[in-house]
Amino acid sequence: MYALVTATGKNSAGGEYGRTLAQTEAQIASDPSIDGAVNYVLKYRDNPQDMAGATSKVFLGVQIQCAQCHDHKTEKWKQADFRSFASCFLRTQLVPLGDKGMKGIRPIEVRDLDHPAPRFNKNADITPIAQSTPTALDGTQVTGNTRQTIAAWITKNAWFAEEIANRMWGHFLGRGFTNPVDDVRATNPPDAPELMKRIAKDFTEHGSDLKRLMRLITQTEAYQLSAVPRTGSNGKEEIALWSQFRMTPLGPAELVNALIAATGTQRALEKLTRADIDDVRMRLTQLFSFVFDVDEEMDTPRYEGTLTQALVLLNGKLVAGGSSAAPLTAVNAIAQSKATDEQKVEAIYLRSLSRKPSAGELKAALAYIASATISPPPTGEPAQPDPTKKPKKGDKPLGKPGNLGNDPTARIDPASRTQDPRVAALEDIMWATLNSSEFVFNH
Amino acid sequence: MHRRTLLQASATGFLATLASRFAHADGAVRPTATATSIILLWMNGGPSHLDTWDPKPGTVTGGPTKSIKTRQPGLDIAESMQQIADVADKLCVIRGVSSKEGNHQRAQYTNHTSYAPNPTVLHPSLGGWVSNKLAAPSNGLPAFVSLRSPSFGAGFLGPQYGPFVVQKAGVPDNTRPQVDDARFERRLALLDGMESRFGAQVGGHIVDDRRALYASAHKLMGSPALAAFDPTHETDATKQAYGDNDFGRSVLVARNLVRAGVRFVEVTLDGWDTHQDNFSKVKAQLAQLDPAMGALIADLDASHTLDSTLVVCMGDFGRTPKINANEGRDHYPQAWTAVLAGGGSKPGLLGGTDATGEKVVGTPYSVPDLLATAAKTIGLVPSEETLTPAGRPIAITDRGVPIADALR
Repeated sequence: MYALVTATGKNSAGGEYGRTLAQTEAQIASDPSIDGAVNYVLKYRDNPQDMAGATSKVFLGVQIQCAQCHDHKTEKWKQADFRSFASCFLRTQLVPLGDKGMKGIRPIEVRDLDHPAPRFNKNADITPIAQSTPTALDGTQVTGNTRQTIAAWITKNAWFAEEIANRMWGHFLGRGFTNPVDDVRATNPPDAPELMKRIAKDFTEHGSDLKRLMRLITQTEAYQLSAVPRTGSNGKEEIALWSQFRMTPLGPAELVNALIAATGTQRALEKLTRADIDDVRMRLTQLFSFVFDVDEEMDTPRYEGTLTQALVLLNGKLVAGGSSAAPLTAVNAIAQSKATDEQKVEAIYLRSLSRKPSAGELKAALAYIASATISPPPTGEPAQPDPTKKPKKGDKPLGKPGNLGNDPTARIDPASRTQDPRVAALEDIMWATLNSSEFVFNH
Repeated sequence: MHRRTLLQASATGFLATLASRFAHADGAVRPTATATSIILLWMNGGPSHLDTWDPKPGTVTGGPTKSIKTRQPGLDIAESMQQIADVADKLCVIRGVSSKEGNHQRAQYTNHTSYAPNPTVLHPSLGGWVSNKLAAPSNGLPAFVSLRSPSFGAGFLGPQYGPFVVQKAGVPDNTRPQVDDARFERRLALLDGMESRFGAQVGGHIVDDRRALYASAHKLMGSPALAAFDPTHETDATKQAYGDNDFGRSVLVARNLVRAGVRFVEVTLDGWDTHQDNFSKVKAQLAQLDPAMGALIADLDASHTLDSTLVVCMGDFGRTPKINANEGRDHYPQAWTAVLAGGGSKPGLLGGTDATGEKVVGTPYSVPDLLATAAKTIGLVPSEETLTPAGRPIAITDRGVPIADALR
């Protein structure tokens, strides 16, 4: 899903998937911006059966992998169907090109074969798949370049459009037409099937344009509903599907972008890291992905977070540095402006929560500023690493999947240096809004 | 006022109530438990069984590795494991483990969860189950800590039961406020007002759940038990005993965490994937493992906590008896060794491999049985099922049965 959404940045729709599968040159890289989509193929180099299962689930909403081990009496797909479908994914060879380049990245060429790749010859799990005839889920025989042919079959299939509509609806509305979004079958029929089909039809008719699909969904009344529960005519809270907006935590990339935008730290980050903001964003997203990786398919009315997530927002440098009135931050500009306290509080709310404070909130914030006093200087433990201490060779960051790259926030000075209690109070208000549920949830 | 006093003072009221709600695991110590904590020493990459726990000196497949006698009669191990040899009478060495996964990713998944990877469900690791089923300590420390690796999470149980990951021995990142304590408390009060307004506005559990999480994070920040992560307070003798490297220090931290009530601690030693120069690399690995594991067991024993702490040492798989052209050994899941100590395990030598180390002699031990054994010591029922959000029952282990001979 994530790869799909990022792909829409380029809006390479009209079969992004087809392109993904058919692309023949790729790089194995820790850098997701290079080509996350192509790495999809490489990820499953040794386990093509899992690639078949994931592909069918993600792009068609068909859980064919349930039939991987044996038949299920009540379900449509049989083990033979799984094997013939998975057979489409065996005919690639991965050939490294040249030496490792910068950062140990080696280009890889994906070559298509007209027979199952020899690396599966002795693999007992693959043998029955290799012996099956490559076949699409509707019985169409898949010939020629099986990877391209199955990709073309998938993107032309009605299930594809419906699954993309379902998934995108689920992404924006918190719950798809089916639950989970990637499991559509007779025993798990979609809610509001007419709506799902209508959106899918629009998607197909407009050349599988993902941007258009997103615009369409975000323009619906359902998306624009408030997260506040509505009271029905019987006086009870309405709990029907999509009758209120379901709050979901921002994903890692969304959170990074929201934090940079709200704190206005883009220029500060560029200056500190001497790197382009897109590069900084990418590295930050990698770091945040490790901490804030949320399973989008979890359907629970509860919030499930980790201590590390809370600690990163409470004490991490991006929030602390971004909410300090250091040069180039938003809160600094607000604090230095000639505006009234009231206007300054409003400006902070607008930046981080995209709305003005209510009368009650404004009152609380103004009282906070009025009561502000200078704090004693920071006590005890240093908040920053000792710059005289060079990292030792063995002090590498986590291995797998944690080759987290260098932390672009490492050079951020998170300390609040102001001696002006009123500026400090504005920093505190900014900090609190960034830590608030209203900020971290899509609502 | 000192920060900790302050943090504790504010944690006593409303926040403390929330924090206790957040820790809603269903029990402290299970009546059937023989262990209250588990320490998993995870040998990442797959250690060569033939150059560690199951040496074959004087054979072609054994290579140059020599063996030494240990304090357990009949158990010889590789010569670079002298400190472990000195506590070997406490060890349950299971030599005949056999598994199916020869790919790192799949083997690591399987050896942490007991299940083969399956795209329809994300299985919880044993640490995740422990964290879900047993209460976290009341001092604010998490139930499940992983040092030096992200380990494996709690799968469908939810991320809140996954490991608290600490990259290296020392006070964890972001556990200290970036402003002074008094100001941090004022910030939290300000935030609390905002959360309370927003929670009332949107209703439901989500904001309450998040406030509870923040209360737990706040409690951890102020907890005196946080010092357990910091090995710098230890005496030089202790630090030397565990080894002057991050793995040694992390194992020392694991000991302290267990003493502070943490239920599952994983410490990773990476670098066992010895496709080249197996023999010199294994020696370097053992130079870290031997002092740390030897000191840990001796230390737990001396402080009478070995009986209540299960120590497990295992990795991805074994390595090929055939030595390759690069003096290396490749992946070999067919036969390898896992080691248990303490926590109700029974010292001894179980199973074995043939003269070349290629084949398991007798009935092989399976990974689900191994994890079921560990689960049983801490009081979990390996066959107990929990429903996934999609309504599918998943047992703690994949039909694992505790190994009776490995338990007291």
